Amino acid sequence: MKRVIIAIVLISVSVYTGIYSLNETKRICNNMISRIDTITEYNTDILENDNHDKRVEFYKKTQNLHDVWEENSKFFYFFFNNDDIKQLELNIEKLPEHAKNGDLETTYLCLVECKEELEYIKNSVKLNFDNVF
Amino acid sequence: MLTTIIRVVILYLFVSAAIRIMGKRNIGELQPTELVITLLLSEFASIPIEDNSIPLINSLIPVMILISLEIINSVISMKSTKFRNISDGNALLIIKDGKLDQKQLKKLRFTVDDVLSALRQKDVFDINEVAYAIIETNGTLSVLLKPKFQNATKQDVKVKTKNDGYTCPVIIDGVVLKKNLDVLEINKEDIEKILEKKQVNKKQVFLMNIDKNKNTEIILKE
Repeated sequence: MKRVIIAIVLISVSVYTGIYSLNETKRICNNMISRIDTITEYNTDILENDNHDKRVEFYKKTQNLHDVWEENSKFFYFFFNNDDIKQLELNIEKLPEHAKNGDLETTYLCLVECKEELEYIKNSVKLNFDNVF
Repeated sequence: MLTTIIRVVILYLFVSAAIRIMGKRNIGELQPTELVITLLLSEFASIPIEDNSIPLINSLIPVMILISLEIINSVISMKSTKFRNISDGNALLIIKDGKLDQKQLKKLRFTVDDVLSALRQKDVFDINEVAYAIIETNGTLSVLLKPKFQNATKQDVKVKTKNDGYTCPVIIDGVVLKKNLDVLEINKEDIEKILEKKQVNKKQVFLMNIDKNKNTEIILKE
């Protein structure tokens, strides 16, 4: 009986961990993608109507994205292969610096790459039979 | 390197606990499914040791699932004979009255050399001495010799015997094993009296064996 309880506990922990990692990954990725979309809009906006306040706001949002990544990076390192998230981390690290320097083009490219990587991570946790086989 | 060391320690403890929970010690006694699980456990455990970029959770979760599957398998096997036959197979008779069952050998894909080798490991050098030989589900061979080739027992030679009961270790490395005292129905005070008579301190004892009649054997620490 004791072993049956151990088996049930272990399966429950495994399933819960799987579901938790799936849901949490989706939530974090969606959160960051929506922030990236906002920053991209600002990026485009500054190209059309440049002013100091917009640039300051632009920089703050990139810094905010960076901070959100810092908060959630431990989660990602716990569940994902380092190679999958290394590039994402590098791009996010560089973003505030490029924004501060007013390097809009590089910032835009970084944002696009970040978004692609986040979409990739989000899709990699989806449960579908293509992933299984 | 420090990461690798910590991972090895965690995985070692985890896999040891896993094998302990599965309830087998000797690899030779494993059923087919248990052998598979043990091999897979070692595979999963080694993955994050080889590559530090792979999260530890990628090893821990599969190990947990494997233990659970094995426990579920063993519980169902206990309740259902049909499932047990499918999962573990059946023991097969391969020698009857000194004659090899060649059909069974073909079924098992055993050669005659395999059978003779297994018999020799059971100290049987002549197949004609064998009454029955059975291949168990874990691959070992059980042998029953013909009566005239079996060793004589005390009953056969009509020798009187006395029952000394079961000899049990009661002190190992200076520590009294209470469980074994209960088995022999002996108290701690009896042990202490025996040690006092032999002028030995409990802490000096490396091994102390005793039987029901209080015949003791003491080995002191060097």
